[in-house]
Amino acid sequence: MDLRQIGTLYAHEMRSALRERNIVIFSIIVPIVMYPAMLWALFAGMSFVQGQADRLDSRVVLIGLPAEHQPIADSLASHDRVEVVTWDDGPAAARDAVARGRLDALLEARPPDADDAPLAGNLRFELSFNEARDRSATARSRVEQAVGAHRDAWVERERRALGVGDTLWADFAIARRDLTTPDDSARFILGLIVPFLMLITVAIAAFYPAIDATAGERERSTWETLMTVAAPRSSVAAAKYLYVATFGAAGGLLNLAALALSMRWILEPLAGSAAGELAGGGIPLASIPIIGLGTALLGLFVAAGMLVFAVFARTFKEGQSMITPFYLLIILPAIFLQSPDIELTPLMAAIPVANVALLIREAIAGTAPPLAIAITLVSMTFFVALAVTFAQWVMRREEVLLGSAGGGLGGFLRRQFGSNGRKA
Amino acid sequence: MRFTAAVRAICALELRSLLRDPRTVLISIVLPVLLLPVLLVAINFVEDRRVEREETRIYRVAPAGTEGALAREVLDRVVERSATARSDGEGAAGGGGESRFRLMELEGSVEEAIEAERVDVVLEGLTSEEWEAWIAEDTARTRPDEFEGVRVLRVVYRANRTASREGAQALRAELFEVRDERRDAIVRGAGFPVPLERVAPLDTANVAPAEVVSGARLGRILTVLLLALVVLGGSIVATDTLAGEKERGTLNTLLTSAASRTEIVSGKLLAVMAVGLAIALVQVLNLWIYLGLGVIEAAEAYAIAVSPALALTLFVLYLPMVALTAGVLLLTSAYAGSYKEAQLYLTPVLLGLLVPTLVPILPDVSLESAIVLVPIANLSVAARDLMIGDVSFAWLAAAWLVTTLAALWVSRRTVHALEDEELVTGEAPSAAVVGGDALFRRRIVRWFVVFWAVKILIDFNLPFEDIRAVALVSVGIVFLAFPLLVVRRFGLDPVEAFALRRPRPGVWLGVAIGVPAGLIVAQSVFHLMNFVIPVPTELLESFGESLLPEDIPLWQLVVLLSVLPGITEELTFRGVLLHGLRRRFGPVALALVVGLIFGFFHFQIFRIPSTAAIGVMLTAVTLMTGSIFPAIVWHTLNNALAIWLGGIGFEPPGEFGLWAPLGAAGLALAFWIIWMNRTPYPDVGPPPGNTGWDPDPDQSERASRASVLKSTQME
Amino acid sequence: MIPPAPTPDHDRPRGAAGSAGERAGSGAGDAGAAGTLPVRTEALTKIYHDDGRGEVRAVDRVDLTCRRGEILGLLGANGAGKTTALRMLSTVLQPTGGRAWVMGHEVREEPERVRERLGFYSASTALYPKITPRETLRFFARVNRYPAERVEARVEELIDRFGIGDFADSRVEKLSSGMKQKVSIARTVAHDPPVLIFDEPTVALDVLNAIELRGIIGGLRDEGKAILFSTHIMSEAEQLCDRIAIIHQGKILATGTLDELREATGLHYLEEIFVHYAGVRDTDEATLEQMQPAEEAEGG
Repeated sequence: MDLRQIGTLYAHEMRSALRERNIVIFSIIVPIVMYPAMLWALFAGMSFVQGQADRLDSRVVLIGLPAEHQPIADSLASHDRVEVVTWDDGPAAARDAVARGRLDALLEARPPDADDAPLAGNLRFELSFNEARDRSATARSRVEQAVGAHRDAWVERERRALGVGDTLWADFAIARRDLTTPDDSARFILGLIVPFLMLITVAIAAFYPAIDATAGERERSTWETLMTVAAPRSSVAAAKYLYVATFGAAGGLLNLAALALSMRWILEPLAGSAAGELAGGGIPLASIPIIGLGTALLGLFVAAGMLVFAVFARTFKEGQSMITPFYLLIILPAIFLQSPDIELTPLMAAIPVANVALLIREAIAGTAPPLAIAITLVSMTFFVALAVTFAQWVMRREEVLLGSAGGGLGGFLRRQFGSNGRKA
Repeated sequence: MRFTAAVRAICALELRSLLRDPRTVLISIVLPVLLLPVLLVAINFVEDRRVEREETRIYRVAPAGTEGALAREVLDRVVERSATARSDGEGAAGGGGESRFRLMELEGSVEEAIEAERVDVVLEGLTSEEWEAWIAEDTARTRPDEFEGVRVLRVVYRANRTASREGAQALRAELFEVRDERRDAIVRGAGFPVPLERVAPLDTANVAPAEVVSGARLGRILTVLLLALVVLGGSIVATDTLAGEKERGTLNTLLTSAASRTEIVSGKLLAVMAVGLAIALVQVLNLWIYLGLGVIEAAEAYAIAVSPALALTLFVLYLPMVALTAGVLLLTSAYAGSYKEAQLYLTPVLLGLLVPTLVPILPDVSLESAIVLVPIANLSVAARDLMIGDVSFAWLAAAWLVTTLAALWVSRRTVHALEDEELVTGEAPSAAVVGGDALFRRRIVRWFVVFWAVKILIDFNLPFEDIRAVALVSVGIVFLAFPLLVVRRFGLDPVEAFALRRPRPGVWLGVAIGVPAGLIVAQSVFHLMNFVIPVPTELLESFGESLLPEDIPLWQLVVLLSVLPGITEELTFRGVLLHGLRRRFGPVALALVVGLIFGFFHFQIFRIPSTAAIGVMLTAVTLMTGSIFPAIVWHTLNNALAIWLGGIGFEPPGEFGLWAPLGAAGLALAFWIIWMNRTPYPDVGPPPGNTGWDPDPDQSERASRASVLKSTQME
Repeated sequence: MIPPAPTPDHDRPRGAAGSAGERAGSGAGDAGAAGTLPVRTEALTKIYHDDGRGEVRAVDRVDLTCRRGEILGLLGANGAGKTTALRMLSTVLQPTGGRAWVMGHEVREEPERVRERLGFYSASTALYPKITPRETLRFFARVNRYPAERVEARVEELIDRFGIGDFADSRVEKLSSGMKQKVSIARTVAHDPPVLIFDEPTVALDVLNAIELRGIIGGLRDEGKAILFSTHIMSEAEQLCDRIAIIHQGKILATGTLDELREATGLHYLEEIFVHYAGVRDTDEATLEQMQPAEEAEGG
């Protein structure tokens, strides 16, 4: 193979790809824009809902409240968003109104149970609300708050009267101290989502280039032009392969970079001002080579797989249909990888794709064991070589190159190996 | 819509073509149907394992600290309580009386023990002095007043380890319980007659029937699920039909047949609806069967029987929504030049359609409000209300009608798209060949999307505390680099791109009046929008506080926060953005779009309306004067005025009052003055339409020239 | 080179060729003229606005007529405006100015009636790949409002006539290009329209298929169809067309039978005649451009 020739062909593929809208969008723009846009939407949505909830009005009815417990009514009435409704139709009608959504909550004061009676003025409250309605849930918590505050004040008065001092009553305070640094937290969050996202972005980023490099050439009728150039077909195939792999890996890495750079934003609500200490999105410098290598291998593997499926496609639509099964095959197992309990054991390190995902997680956490790294790299290299060999074997067939194979990979294999298969 | 023979034939053709494409049927229909249960089972499995692990996990806890004795005492009680609770319970979690907490002895320092995973959580007992000292280390730490001079139990853990994080959470909850127990013992010992928890106990009772509650839950998410399925199903036909036909050349054949454009759209719309509905139904049935077989466990809350009558009502209710969805998909397809391009638009279209279906999740959105006017959102809310069982027929009918009208309107747009010659023949001039300005106008949106994201990422990773350094980089460098990069990349003429032209002197008077008036109007817009996008109370309160530190000299603030953004942001928005979009919209739409994009760069959602209002004013000034300089001056003065008002502690006038009309009047006067001194921005608006028809070509040409002239002068 | 004529007189050949009926028609008003002539255009114009080139007159004040049983050839180079003119006639594009009638129906006022009376065939009118020829013919007969009760009989007749029988029930995507071509023509005439438009129909065909297609088109003329046929191939126009309109840069430079054109130019071969007219035109344009540069610039 003439490396210079491959280089020329590769540069040609890359140049055309960077001018192709779908490829630029899915391999470059989406990975960069996704997190900022998602986080923005999330924050905007959250404050929007929060603002909505703050604005909910509560219509509350109080029935049978004794004069000494009037503070409950007063505190509710002083709330901007609570309306204490005067109600003359009795508790049954009020409960019905809550059920129908015309009232939001009903607070009834009842005589205390016999055991509770020794406390002078004690009573029992019954709060009727409607679980099907948000307004009622808000009303419920507002009433609960008012009742709770009233009770605390009452207990406070009583215990002072009984001579229980403040310090004795307070007993002990409860505090917490998290030993994680912002970097630790960032790594933890990254570790949870990166394995899954890495697979998806590499697959998405390689998806369009793979179709473009095969079906796209046929649609533009440039396939034959390319087949008639002086370069050997293996060089053409190698250049295409490298081009798809480059986009896959680049998409994955861009996505990871964008996520790491968004980390401070994600951490801010959790770690507060400490998030300012976060450096480099939590990814340790030392693991960047491992992450890069892992992503490159993943890109090479995904590219080989996709090309094998896509090489039979004559149109973009066909290519899409043909690649989808392989795409799902890579993506779906990633659901299981989201569990933080799965670790990169030597056995896991032998499973292709999954091992890279886990390796990247461990690398981010800075805990990748050398043995697992070695096994992962060897295993992945082996599978990449396998996939490339297979892809080369498929692409060497004339009917595949000329696009006359008809049907997809399945049909091709059946014809190659099937004893009673149709003649091509 | 009339079911003419042509409509039926076109619909049948679409369905037949789909059914004869086994690969598409397999990948787009069969595969998802098979995958749905697999996916659900897998997710259930992962979740079950997580829950199981969490339930059986034993947390190793150790006491420590100066007040270690208290910590030990409390931990003993925690261990005991947990053991009792687990033996009292049904033993479902397999506890069988074994406590979830195991008491350990600490070896080495607290940090080391946790780091080495010898214990999961340490409970440190500290004296009040030690606690005060710890609090003083970080302003984020606080102490409630009632705990002055009180000992403290501090839960020490590592949040990035599952066992430690969960253990800390469980322990904290227990600590509150134990403290309540101890308080109860104290007051009871002093002679309090009843247990503390029996003081004015509050029982809650839900008065809504169980099926209504689950109906409400299901009602909130039903529409979003169904719509997603309809979109995914309908898009199989929609992306292939108009866009795909352009590619294959069959659209030309169809367009030269006697079928009217309306018939073509009707037939295709029916096919898209049919496939979308069919796939949604198949998936619902699919789910139903697996739920029935018990392969997948439904969350209890959603297990309700939908009566046939309700199902039928929902079906009728959803029909216009399905029609609208199909219409939008078809319209997208009509705009796309190829199957590939249609695919590209699918994701944003899907997201756009799903947003209104999320409305019923919002608290307190009633159908009897302005929401009834929003297509799709109104039916989503109506469906939820229908599931709860209260909905007024009149409002339901109104919602139905609004969405139906929207569907008709979208279909009309699709018919028009088929009449649009550039879309039909795909003969748009190639910008790549034309290069420079034409290419720039095509790419400008893409560049801005990336710029937006990059800007956010840079802003969030600036390693500076000082607001001056932040402003210098974020506003001074980033906003300056972008327009310069664009101008260089596309080889634009800076005078044209940045509108570096001299306005008439009278304009400056308008600007002087416009700045304060504009600020008032923007403030009023903020209050007005508060009705639509309510600002959370918390945020509103902290609004004024965080902005400006007091130890920075005023001149620095003015330079960094008003002069600098005045120049660089204007070069970006009223410079390259306006220049890039100028041919896409008429002047009014252009001002709104540029203003809105300007708003989006101030990413807090509450700031968007008011900053967008300012953005619209600045764009309008630039369009009227054809020059960026008035906008730069206006922007600078606006910011300076805001800083100055903030500096002297001026409270913005609440709500509307007298200020809003005064501001509006001032703004009107300002724009009248600028209008009288106008020198319009060149070349605004789309080139005159190709469809305008006039028997006399010369006359039509004159007319179109005149209309260009008129449209440039408008606004 | 022939010196530029002060006013390109494209009315002359038509006037020479015009029948008495036609002349009477144009004098008597639209309805009368339309009634007798299957296709007629009057100052048909199409102006595009192009980012790079400014205003483009793709079709410029074109007057055409086509009678029953006549093939009118539109002869012009690529980009001369042939396709645009024919697309306006088939109502896919809307005229910027002027008018056009097909069987008395104006293209802007009654586009569906126009298309009902029209069969349009070009290299870009493809067939639906997933359906069979029989289904294709049935579909287009129905969509084109052929009387429902006669559709089946018509489909059988077409299958018979165009020799589609052998592959009438295989899917179109499986057919060879020759087979597809037959189906395509059958599709064009499925609803038995009185007017047929063939826009560069032979452009992608091999010699044998092209000959066959020309034969079919000739046959259709003999049935009394009015046929518009565009091509850039001289020999094709020479062989097939009853009258030829030479179109260049959006303008009709001459119309007439081959003999009339020969007579008008004194040249024998169509190629020479074409160059004669087109050449004149080119010089003309160049001169005009030099004379009025300011106005041109303003147009963009």
